[in-house]
Order: sequence, then structure tokens, then C-alpha cells
Amino acid sequence: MRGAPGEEAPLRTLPAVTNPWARAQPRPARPTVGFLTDSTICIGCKACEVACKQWNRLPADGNNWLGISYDNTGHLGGDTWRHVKFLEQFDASREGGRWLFVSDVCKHCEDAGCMNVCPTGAIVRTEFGTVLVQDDICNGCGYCVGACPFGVIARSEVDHGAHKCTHCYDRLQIDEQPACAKACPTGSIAFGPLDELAERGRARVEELRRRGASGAQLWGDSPELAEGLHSLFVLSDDARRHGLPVAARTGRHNLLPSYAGHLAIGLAWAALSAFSLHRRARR
Amino acid sequence: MSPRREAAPPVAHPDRPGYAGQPVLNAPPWHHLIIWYFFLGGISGTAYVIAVLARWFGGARGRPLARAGHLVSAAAIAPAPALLILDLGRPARFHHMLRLFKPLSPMNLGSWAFTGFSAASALGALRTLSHSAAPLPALLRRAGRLVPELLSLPGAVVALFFSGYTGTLLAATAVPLWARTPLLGPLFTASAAATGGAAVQGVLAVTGDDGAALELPERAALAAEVALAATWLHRLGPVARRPLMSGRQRGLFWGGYAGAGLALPLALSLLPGDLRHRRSVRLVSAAATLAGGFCLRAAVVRGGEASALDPEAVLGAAGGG
Repeated sequence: MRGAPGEEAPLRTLPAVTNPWARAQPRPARPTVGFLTDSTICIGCKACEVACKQWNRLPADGNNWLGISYDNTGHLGGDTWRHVKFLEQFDASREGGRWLFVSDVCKHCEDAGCMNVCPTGAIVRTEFGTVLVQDDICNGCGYCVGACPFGVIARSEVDHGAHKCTHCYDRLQIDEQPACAKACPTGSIAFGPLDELAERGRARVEELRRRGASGAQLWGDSPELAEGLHSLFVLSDDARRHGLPVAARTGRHNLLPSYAGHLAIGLAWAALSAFSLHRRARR
Repeated sequence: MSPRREAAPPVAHPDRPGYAGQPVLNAPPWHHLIIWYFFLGGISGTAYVIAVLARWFGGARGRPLARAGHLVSAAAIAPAPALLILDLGRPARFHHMLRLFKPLSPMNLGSWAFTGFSAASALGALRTLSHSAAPLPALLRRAGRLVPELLSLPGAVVALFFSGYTGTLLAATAVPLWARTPLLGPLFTASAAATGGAAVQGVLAVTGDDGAALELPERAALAAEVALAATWLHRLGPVARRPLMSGRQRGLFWGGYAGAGLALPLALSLLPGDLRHRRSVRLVSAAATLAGGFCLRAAVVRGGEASALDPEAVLGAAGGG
């Protein structure tokens, strides 16, 4: 990182904290990175969840017995940035069934719903193509929470700011991989340049299908999903069974039609009011 | 026989959509203050527009309307800063909303509109007081007469935006009830027009002034609401509109909004003139419209939270598994 002079803008941490209007110079772009999470080799150990909590100093979730499976994390949230889902696909007789595990994470969308609506500019895209919440700017308005089409970002009960996976932005800057990928013992979580990961994911799906896993698919690279995601997943079943949508459009697409209808109704009502007032005035 | 109890069959959830029925989205963490803000902001914006139009087009008969409009507008916007700031997770950073101008975020645009409009609204009320016998310093009285005239046109434009942008704010999320159609923007605008008109009409009824000029736009706003709400419900479809059809929000939406807020004032507006213009009828109609507008916003905001937590509404009908 500390290479040629002028490669990196000088850090200006103090003004950014004391003066919310201060702007840091954008850093020079780096190759776009992502995650490829291969659910077919995940063993459900939750080492990624623990490593994420440890590295990012996140509080524990508490003992909340959900009763849905051996997974008691349940959901991503403000203090839970990796979440291993346990899908139990058995019939009542327990004959012929399977466990599916998949480690869910922020998708770092191309068209990021959270970043679109953020009113303070706290949520930005970094030089690595990831989506980051700047905690010193966030005022906890909560708008991003409902705007995420994957239920990732949430407000923390601890500090009342919005939080989600940072892609370990601090580690990326020293050329380290994110904590979850580093901790994964089976290689289920791969980290790297996004285009290479997509290539790898497609090859893996092809191999799985050749071996007879007809339901295998790569999820995340479709433009139907928020213009494409930076977190890709190899799944062995329909994405919806994993609680993942097959199409996700951010609310940005509603802005123009909604404002247009608003303007039309407002102007028509104002014109009618003016007409009515004018008519009464002359009577 | 083995004394050991047979192990219970593992939990499989073929009937629960998504990941074992777990929510797909996170519910927006707003509390009830935001409903009051949506309600009062709508009234304040349209009451200001009524006041400006009454000054421009209403002649001498428009004066009471202008006075009532300006005062209603300022009174409705007065608690809004507190409502907005207290709903933040980190209230001391409310000014971060204004550290950039970002039209892509309706909340950012709304913060700017709020800042500009609350000044215009306050000056409009100051103008009304300047022309009255209220005790004011001479300099303030002169400023109160001149500045609002210059601000009226931009003020009215921003007021129209401010009165209904909250519908677009909700439509810009991923919540099915709010974002499946872009109709909440126009619906909240029509409701703001009806509630703002009703608030001004209520004040005129109390002071004994003629509010007949407001009847035609009021009826039109209510009719537009009926059409927009019906289209909205139809286009949501049976799954996405579920939070309004059962549970807590059903009474608010159908009894409070459709019944008290739309049907009752529309029925009263069809009464013959001598009945309709009675003070009691005007007050009942205004109160019902206002209560209905509040119920609409409460049902939409609370219903949106239920909608976000409904995996079937988010994933679609094929989300079973």
C-alpha cells in the first residue's frame, strides 16, 4: 500500500470526525473483489461467524433458541455479518434426506439499495468495489434497513448505528483476505478478484452437474439481482429455499414514476384550488 | 421394548416458505413518531399552498383562508424537527442529513425540502401575524410583510413536494407493501391535500368563516384517494397486501381510513348546502378526514414492517420449501 509517492491520498481522519462536511479524496481504484461461497463443501462449523465476530469485535447474539434447526443465529443483522444457514431437507421418516449449509453475507450489490437511499452519504463504494458504512458519518436513521433487498444491513442495539459486513476493509488495505475466508477450514468461502470468482463458480457448477447434482447453480451474477452481486454462491437447490430471492430490484426504480404521480396529483389539486378560490372571489 | 423415548422426527418445514419461515428482509426500525411526522408534514405543506393560493386568487373573501392556512401550516410543522430527530438512532448527528445534496435518496431530498419549507412556513405565519394586531417589534413586522411575498412561489413549490414525498420515501425501499408499486407517492400526496384542506376547513368552522371555496378541491382529493388506493391494493396482489387485510392493520386501514377518512367525508359532501355548511357537519367532516389520514399512514408504516417480515411476500408464491 505504501508504494510510490502520490499513490495514496494522505489520511485525514481528524477532520472527518470533527467536521461532517469534510471530504476525503477518493483512493485510487483497486481490482474489484468478492466472495464465492460454495455451499456444497460447507460443513456448517460456523468458524466464519466466529472469526467475523472476533475480528470486527461484534457482540454475541445471545442464546436465542429458534427451534428451526441447530442454527440459532437465524438472520444477518447489525451485529451478525456472517450467518451459516442449516437447511434440513428430510421427510418425516428421515429416510433419504440431506443437510444443506450455506454461509450468508452482504452481497455488496452493483445497485446497492442501502447506499442509494442513505441520506447522509455514510454508505459508500470503496476502491475495492465493496459497499462500506462509514460509522463516523451514519446517524442511525434506519432507512437503509428496509431498503436492502436481502435483509443484510440493520441497526445495532449497542451503538444505534447501521452496520453490515465491511468485507474486512481494514484487512483489504493491507492485502489480507477477509477474516471469514481466512478461517474457513474447507475452502467453502473463497475470496479474490470478482471476475475470477465468477469463472471459478461457473466451472464448479458444471462439475457438480456432471457428477449428477442437477440442482446445482451459481447464484448472484444475474443482472436481475440488483444489477449483479459481488458475493456469489454455489447452491444445490432453488435459491428461494435458502431464503434468497431469484430477482431483486432496488426501490430506485420507483422514484421517477412515484414523483411523477405526486407532481401530477399535486399540481391538479393546486390548479383546482386556484380555480375554486378565484370563482368564489368574484361571486 | 426399549424404555427410551422415540426421538422426535427432525424439523422439516415443507410448508414454511424460504429458510424455515425466517424473514428475508429486516424490518425498518422506525417507531410511531415517524407516523406523526408523515401526517403533520402532509398537512403543513398543503395548508401552506392553500394560504398562498388564497392570497393570490381569493380576493377579499380569501383572507380568512390565507390566515388559517398559514397558521395551520406553521402549527403542523412546529413539532416536526423533534419528531424527526428523536426517531434517529444517533439524534446528535441529525445535521449529517445536510452534509450533501443527494436526490437519489428521498430522505436526503426531503431533509432539504424540510429545511427550506419550515422557514417559508414560519415566515408565512409571521406575515399573517404582521397584518394582525399581534404585538411585534416594528422591524419584524416589516420583514414579516415583505419577505413572505418573495418566498411565496418557491415556498409553494417546495410545499407541494414536501407534502407527499414521504410516499416516495417508502416506495424507494425493498418492502413489498411499499415498493411493489410506485403508487404511494401520489396516494400520500392526495391524502395530504385532503387532510391539509380538512385542517384549514376545521379552523374556519371554528372561527365561523366561509370555507366553501375549499369544497371542490377537497372532494377531488378524496375521489383521487379512492381511485389511487383501490389501484394500489389491486396491483399489490393478494400476498403483498396481506398486512392490510388481516391482523392489527385491518381496522386502521378499513375502518379508520376507508370508512372514517374517505367514505364519511365523501358522503357528508353530498349533503345539501344548508346542512353541509353547518358548523357541526363541517367539524365532523374535517375531524374524520384528519383521523383517516393518520390511520392511512399508521396502517402503511406498521403494515410495511409486517410485510418485510413475510418471506412469502418477498420471495413470491414459489418460495415454498
